[in-house]
Amino acid sequence: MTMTALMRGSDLRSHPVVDMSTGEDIAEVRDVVFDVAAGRITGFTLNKRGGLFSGRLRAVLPTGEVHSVGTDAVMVASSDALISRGDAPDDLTGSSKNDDVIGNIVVTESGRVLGNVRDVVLTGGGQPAVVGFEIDGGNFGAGLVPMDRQRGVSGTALIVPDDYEQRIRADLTGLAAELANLER
Amino acid sequence: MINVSTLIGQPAVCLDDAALKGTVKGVRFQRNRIVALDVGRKTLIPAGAVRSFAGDAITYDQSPSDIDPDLWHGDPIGKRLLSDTGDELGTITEIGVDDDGTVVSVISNRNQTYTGEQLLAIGSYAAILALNVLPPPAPIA
Repeated sequence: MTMTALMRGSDLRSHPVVDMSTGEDIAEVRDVVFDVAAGRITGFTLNKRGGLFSGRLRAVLPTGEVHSVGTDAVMVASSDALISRGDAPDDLTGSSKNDDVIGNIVVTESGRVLGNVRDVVLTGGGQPAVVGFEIDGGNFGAGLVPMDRQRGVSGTALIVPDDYEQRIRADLTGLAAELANLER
Repeated sequence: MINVSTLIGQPAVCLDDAALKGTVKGVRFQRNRIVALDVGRKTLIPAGAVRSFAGDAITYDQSPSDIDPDLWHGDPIGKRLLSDTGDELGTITEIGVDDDGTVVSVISNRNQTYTGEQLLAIGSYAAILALNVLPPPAPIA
């Protein structure tokens, strides 16, 4: 059975992109691009391999070309998975959607501030998706909340149901359990 | 069967001129097959020219090489093992190879043994293993 671990979006930065047909690392993840409202990762912008100053790659990696996102690497079937920015869909080459979320205030429908979005939480595997957020700076300190049933998201705020205070979890294991509860 | 750790360092003798060309320095893989051996400084022996991989020395017939020059080559022992799901599986401690150069087993430093069918590639970054490949069915008696 394939593992689909939870991971933070920031954990994916600098992940190697590995060509499964050759065993070569052909790029590394610069940033995760996602449509939070849809809960969908649209793809990745890339850096060249080789460290902090290696520079940006002109190519991008759409989610549809990804074989799997793992805890240690992003796997692709071949180097053809990387496409030029000119050929990439608009939702991948437009302004990075995650910039609209990080720092957003998280507030319940009745106006209680839970904190600010510090990071997104994703499932890996063959169909990576956004499933939650890490928040801090609020009344509860740092914590993780599932994404399900959010009432709205904009460039500045994330609106969640009033009962979301009870859904804040301290770590990814707790969040995974909360997500499993929500599926029932 | 022979282990790659034994293969590395074996002497290589060309049968055409009975000359010792050097010792095996590296192995080139394509998927789960050895396609060439790097011997000495400049000698590249295509796997098809090798009489057998299971002896005490590599004996081979002189043969032109059309091996992809970009194929990674070297000693795979100690190389990072990565699953096709993107998770690290440890490092290679041994690779078992059949008489014709087909990989039959890959052993990790986590005491896991993988079949040759699971090996997708060996490159400069990692050896890639498919985790969901089923073993071949047992022959019917």
